[in-house]
Amino acid sequence: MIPDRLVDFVHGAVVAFIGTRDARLRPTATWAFGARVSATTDEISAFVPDIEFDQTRSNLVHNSIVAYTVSDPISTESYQFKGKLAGMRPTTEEEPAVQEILRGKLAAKLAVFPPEFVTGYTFVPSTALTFKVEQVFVQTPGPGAGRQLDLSTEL
Amino acid sequence: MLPEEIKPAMLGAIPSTMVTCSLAGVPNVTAISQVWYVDETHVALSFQFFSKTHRNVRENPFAEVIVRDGQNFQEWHIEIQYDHSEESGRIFDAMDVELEAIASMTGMSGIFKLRAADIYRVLSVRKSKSRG
Repeated sequence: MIPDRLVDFVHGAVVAFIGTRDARLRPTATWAFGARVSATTDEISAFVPDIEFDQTRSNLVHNSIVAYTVSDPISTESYQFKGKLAGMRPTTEEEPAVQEILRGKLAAKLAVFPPEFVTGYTFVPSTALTFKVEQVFVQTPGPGAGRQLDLSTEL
Repeated sequence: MLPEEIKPAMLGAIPSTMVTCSLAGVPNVTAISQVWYVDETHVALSFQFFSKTHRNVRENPFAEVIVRDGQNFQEWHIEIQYDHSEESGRIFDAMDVELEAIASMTGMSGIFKLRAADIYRVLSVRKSKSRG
């Protein structure tokens, strides 16, 4: 089960990327802007702007392996969630509100940057990419990056 | 292949993003501190730790990096292929100095240590469409 502190982290002011790969093992990264975590089902629905989603969608049609990295842009605390795709669908009417809340949180956290750093991204429409989390890794830069978390003991 | 206008995005002002893939087919996404412009067909990335990223590119040389311009925030996607590593020389020395500067600005002095400059061949480059 995904611990509460990681649920709160993913729902906080973080930047996120989805990594996938094609049939030739060539990887692609794309932004995810906003997410919802279901700790009870160990699923994350990450909202990927459609404007940069084509290669990721194509990759996931051929294989279902998802890597999702979330980072605090100030502290650089980061985690990577890996798992299998459960589904893709257009975001609901409510989910853009989640993205707007994230944009507000990031604007506050990154107030030292010009506003366009946060406001300049196109994230509507987006696709909700839901995957079942199987592994979580510490991704904070440094020698400890890559350590797998034991979710049975992490609180 | 790398246009002149991409150079400001390789100054390390904003961390870059790198995705690799293991031979078993598992992608890995991480932030990286340096993407160094070598010439119009090559970039160098800092090898600091024996990380998953490091292992992946030795198994499967294909990767993608996203670099960001600290002035206009334009993002670029660069598909790359690992070529070789350099543990000394002009590129290594220049990256070592810049890495220390980045480390000192981010409170990571003494943590970041350049082991090698990993040289990659550029396969393609494009501007991100996500900044409307």
